[in-house]
Formats: sequence, structure tokens, C-alpha cells
Amino acid sequence: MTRGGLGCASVSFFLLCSQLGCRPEDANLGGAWSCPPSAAESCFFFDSALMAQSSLSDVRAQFDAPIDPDAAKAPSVVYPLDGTTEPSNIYDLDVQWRRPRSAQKLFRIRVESAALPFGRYELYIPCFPKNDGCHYNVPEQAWSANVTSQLRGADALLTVAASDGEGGEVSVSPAVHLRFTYAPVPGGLYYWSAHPPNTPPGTPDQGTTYRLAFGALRAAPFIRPNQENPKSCEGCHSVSGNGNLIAFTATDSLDGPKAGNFVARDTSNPTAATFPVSSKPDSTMIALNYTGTLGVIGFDNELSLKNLADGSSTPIASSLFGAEGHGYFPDFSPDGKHIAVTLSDSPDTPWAVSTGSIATLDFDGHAFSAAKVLVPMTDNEFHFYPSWSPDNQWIVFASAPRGVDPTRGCSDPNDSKCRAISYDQRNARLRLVHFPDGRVYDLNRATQGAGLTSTLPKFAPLPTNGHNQLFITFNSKMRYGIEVPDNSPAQLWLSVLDFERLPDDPSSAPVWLPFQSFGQKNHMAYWCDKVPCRTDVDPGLECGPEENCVDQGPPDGPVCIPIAPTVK
Amino acid sequence: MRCVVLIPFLLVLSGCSGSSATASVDGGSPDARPDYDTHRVSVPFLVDDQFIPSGCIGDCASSVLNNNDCPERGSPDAQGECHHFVFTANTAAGAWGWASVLWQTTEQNWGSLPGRAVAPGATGMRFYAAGKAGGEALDIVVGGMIPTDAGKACEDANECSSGVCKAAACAEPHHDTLNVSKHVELSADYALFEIPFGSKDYGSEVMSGFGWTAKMPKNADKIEFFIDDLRWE
Repeated sequence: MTRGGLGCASVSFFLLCSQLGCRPEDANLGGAWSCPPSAAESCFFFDSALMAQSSLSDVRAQFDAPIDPDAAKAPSVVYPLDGTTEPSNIYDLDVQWRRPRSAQKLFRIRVESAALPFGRYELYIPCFPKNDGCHYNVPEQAWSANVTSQLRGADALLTVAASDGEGGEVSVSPAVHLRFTYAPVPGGLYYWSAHPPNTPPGTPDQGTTYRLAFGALRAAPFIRPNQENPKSCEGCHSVSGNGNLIAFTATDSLDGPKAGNFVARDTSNPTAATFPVSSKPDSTMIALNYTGTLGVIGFDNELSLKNLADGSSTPIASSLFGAEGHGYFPDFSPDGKHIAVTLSDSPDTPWAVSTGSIATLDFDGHAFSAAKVLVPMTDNEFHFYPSWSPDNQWIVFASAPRGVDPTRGCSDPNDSKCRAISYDQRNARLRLVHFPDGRVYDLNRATQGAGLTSTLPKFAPLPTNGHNQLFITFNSKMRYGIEVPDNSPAQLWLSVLDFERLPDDPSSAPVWLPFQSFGQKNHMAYWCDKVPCRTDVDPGLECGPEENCVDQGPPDGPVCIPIAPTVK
Repeated sequence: MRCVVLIPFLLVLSGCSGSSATASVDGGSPDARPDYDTHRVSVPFLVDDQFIPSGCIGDCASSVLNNNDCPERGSPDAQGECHHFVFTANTAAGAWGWASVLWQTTEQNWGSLPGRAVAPGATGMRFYAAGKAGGEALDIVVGGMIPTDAGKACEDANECSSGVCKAAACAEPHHDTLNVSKHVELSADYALFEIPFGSKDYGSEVMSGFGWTAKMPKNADKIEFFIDDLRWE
């Protein structure tokens, strides 16, 4: 301990540095490093609280002290997760860490990469305490200009170093390995949220679909109870791949009958009905084709093909679903030539099964082939919630162990009410299967281990210049650093699938999607190519709070474009 | 209905106290556990990390919109939440003509639950604020949640700030020690506002980390403003 000899704590830390003789600024990680004074903004960021206290070079000099080798004193970064791939258009990053010593008052977040203009970017900050750690929301403009826009497709290391601000030894966290995407995540996202943010605990689920053009800092409520939704609750929804149509199941209570009425709305005018709502329940889970002209609707353990031009329905024969006899959780391939389903003979609710295989049915525009099993259920595991990739070549899905779920209050393995089910399945894991080959890959980095309810994955649209990267979102109850403990309500996460990693796990550790409110229960993030501006609202409200409505001309017309940070 | 009486705001505009309560805490024998009280908030901190703007009085409940729709942040390194408030004139009979929002530890904690324990050393707080039009006037208060109903006759716990009615009298509620305030006028561009605590102590618990009060001017239909980067330092 060198700190004991440093004298009065009220002495300014920067004076101590000069008294002790600070080491060169590159001492911590070795090797010469220089950043020209004219390029200081490309290398350093100082929180304004520090700027008020001291000269900036004095703050930096605190980290030239010797490194404390005691690992127990080192901060540990808890967000971002190790192995994350950061999308270039997620600007709102909250770096979170635990600090083991109260004397640690001054911190340096360092990003190192050969792809950075000067090799490193550093933020100097105090601890903003939260729960059992510290956090710092990196400034959007500085982060975007100096890190994400510089690191397209590159790898980087992130560390947090801690100083007592009095010239004492510096403790440095283990490095977190980051990768940055080649291309921004494209398209728009419509996700289901149980209730608005900041709702008192115990509030019954009601269901509102939020939407945003990805890259916007916040989402806006889009299908709201008794507004765009003609009823007071909303069940499952789906969005056409072109972004022009949303369909959902409208009901009066999510605690009542496990079905509701099929409602479809143009996303540019969601308050206007497209065709009459049935007087009887007719819908649970829904899949729309890319253009929004057709839907496959689940209801009463059957799937029907719905013509969205006139609302007519044609049941899909149960004989097509093999020995199981039923298909659940349908999803259209983007090219419209197939649907993926979960084959099951043991439904629990319209949105949950306790057995399941992933299967596909060919579609010629009018009729379906017999189901072909792509990922068969085993004695130990069942599979569910398939979602097609935008290039039609992959299906992402979830798997979980079969058997009795002790949390359901009974233990008879032959009673379906005692068995583990797919919905909010605690032990679900994310997986990927090639279509039509059937090669299965585990997405372990995305899942982050068992017991975190990582499930309901959905593919995002095809990125341009994506360099063999695709994106999935899913909902999970994994902890979000120090901000949200694990097994809180499910929230949305994004993982990047880097196909150059195959045959190893192609997924990245996931990124928490920062447009969510803590504690909000969010599910089923459906993606689409674009987010049309609304025409049924006052001027200025056509898009979300962090988006502009821009007329792109034919064929897209007016669409919502996220407001990106201004990059110098 | 529970009512809270706020001691009149005391304007403290003294200079920096210069006090430094930096604790000289030795790490002790190294182990994996933190060597500090994780239940005590260290300084500096973001007000929005420890408090929520849930204490609504005056015409607040019916006439104040609070969201995060700020067209821009107060500064390039703004932390925490940016708050957009719209206080709309309430023309109903019995309206107060003013509104106030206090940042509380949990919703509706007017003294029934403990406040935040804040480590010594904070010498003031600061924030950025801007008015939609410019010229909006606010009274800012830090602390100030000091209910005066201890000992008051009661029949039901809901009549007491403490949430406890014992022997027909309200129990002593949790309360702020700190009570500093400042009148500010906003411009259309963000400005930094600093509120030094001076010699004021904030005691063992802080009930409200920040608050504002606005009085609706005659003939005005609304007051709209933005508050960002709320920090105790």
C-alpha cells in the first residue's frame, strides 16, 4: 500500500502527482502512446465534474501511477458483456462496473484498438453510484465520432481503471473484448410491452406495441389499448417484412380466454380498420408474409391461411402436420415460399407448448406441402419459436429441456400441466439451424447460460454491406449490469451473428437495447424493412420522439428516420 | 388524503464551503467484497439514479406532463435523464395555480420510508435547464421535505406523513435535514445552474434530491421547460 504515505486527503490529487513524479502516460499498458495535442478530442473525454476540479492533464496523470497487482481491488466491468459485438447505430452505451474500494474515486474507461486513429480512446470520470456499482453513460456524440464510427468491423478491448485521485496505485479491470459491426442494424422494430413504463407493481398485463426506427434513442407507443387497438388488451402481434402492415390479437383481458379477434392495420394509419373485426374470437399467434397480403393465423389449435385483402380464411389441414397433428408459432420465410412452425401434440396455451419440433412447409402461393421436420424433438429437449433469416437460409429458434417443471406445482410427468412449457421458459437457449440442411448451431454467447429465459428470437432485416453478419433480437431475463438484476421482467437484447465464425458459435454476447425502460416487460420484437410515417396524427407526431419523417420517394414514400448523433 | 407541509424555501447563495469530507478509507485486507457501505450513496451521484420525480403537489397531478422528450441534452456529457415538463394552466374551480414536483426515493414516500443515506462530502448540486420559450420562472429546492405533522391528532395512518398513527397521534416521519432553494429564470438555451449547500448539512437521510415549483403567470396557458444532468457533487 503506497496510499498510506500520501498524507492529507484534502490535498488536491493533482498536486500529489507532481510531488511524486508521475510516470509516462503509457505506463499502464506498456508501449509508447502519443496523442497530438491538436487531436486531443479524438483521444480523451473528461466528464464535466472533473473539468471543474482540475486541469485535464492532471486528471490523466493520476493513471500514470504504478498498477496495483491485487486483483481483488480491480474494478470489474459488468456491462458491456465480454464478447459483445456493438452495432454501429446503438449510440447509447452505459458502461457499468463494480468497484471494490470506496477510496476509488476517479475512473478511466479505455478503449484500445489498432483501428482507432491513435490506438486508444479514454474517458475520465467519477463514479456515479447505482446499486452495487458505478456507471457512466458515454456521451453519444463523442462515442459515435471517436469510437463506433472508427471501428466498423474491428475488434477492441475495454478496461476500467480506478484511482484514488491522490496518486495512489491504479487498479485495472480485466479487459472486455468487443467487436463492432460492419454495418448499422437496419429497419424498424415493433415490440410488445406488458404495460407502460413506471407502472406500479402488480398492474395487470395490458399490452401495448411500441415501435421505432432502429437507431432512435426511444420507442413510441403505437398500438395502444382502446386507441389503435379497438379493445382494451393486446395479445400477440406480427408485422409484414415490408413494414406496411401490422396485425394483432385484440382482446378484453389477457387473463381471460386465451384468444381474441384478429385485427390488421396499415402502419401508416393504424387507427383505421382495414376490414371488419370478427364477432367471435379467431386469433392467437400470427405470421404475416413479407408484403402483408397473407397471414397464417393460429386459433383453437389450428392454423389458417388468411387473405388480408378480403379477410377470408382457409384452414390448413391438420394432416399436413404429421403425427403431432398441430402446428404452432408460424413464421413466413421472407421470400414467401415456406413457413416454419413448431410441431406439437401437447399445447399448453396458444403461445406455449410442452413438446415441439421445428418443421417447415412449402407454400406455392395458395397451398401448403406436408411439414418437413428440420430439428426433431428428442427425449431430452423440445424446440419452439422459429424465425426466418432475411436471406431465407437460416431459422433461429429456442430449445429447452423436457420434463416436469417443479415451479408449476405438480410432479406427474404424464400430466402436460406439470411439464416445462415454452413460454417464458427459464431454461430456454437460443439456437440456429440451416435451411434446408438442418445443421444446428448453439448460440451460447447470445444465450449467456441457462436459467435466464433467453427466448423468442427474431431476425432483423438484411444489412447492406453487412459482411456476413446478421442480427437477432430476443427477450431475456438476464441481468443488465448493475442496473437491472437477473430474473426481473424480460427485456429485449440484440446479438450479432457473424457467419465467419462458423462452425463455432456465430453469435456475440448480447447488447441490451437502450430504448427500453428498466422494469418494463417486453416481448416479441418483430422486425421490418422500414417504418412508415403515420398519417393519422397531428404534424410532428408522424414518427417517434427521436425520429424524423422523411419522404424517400417511390417506392417507400414517407418513412421515419432515426436522428443520429451529430458526428463531427 | 395525506398532506405534506414544506418548510418555506430558504435561499442559500453562499459561496463554496470548501469543506472536504473525503473519507480516508483504507482498503484493509484485500478480498472480493467491497469495503464500503453499498447502501450509502457516494458522492458525486446522479439524482435520477437515486430519486424519482414522483412527488406531485399543487396542480401537478392533473396538469403536469413529465416525459423525456428533450430536443437536445443540456451538455455534451449530460448524464442521467433529461426531463421535459409541461405545466398546463388548470382553470378548474379550486385549482391552486401552481405545481411542484419533488424527486423522491420511491413513489409517494412523503416520510413513511427512510430516505437515501448519502456519504458526506457533497457541497452542492447542479443541473442544466432551458425554457421552451425563455423567461420561465422556477423555484428550485433541494431537500425541503420536512413534514410537520408529528404529534398531530389522527384516526388513520393515511392521515400521517409517517404512515403511522399511534395512540391517536401521528408518529415522527422521516424527513430532510437539508433545505436549500433558489429562484431561477430560464432562457431558451440551456444554462447551468448551481445550488451550493453552503454550511447546510444533509444529515443521515435525504428524502428529496431535487424539486421545482412553478407558479402559473396570469394569462399564461402553460409553462414548458427542460431539466437535465441533475447531479449532487
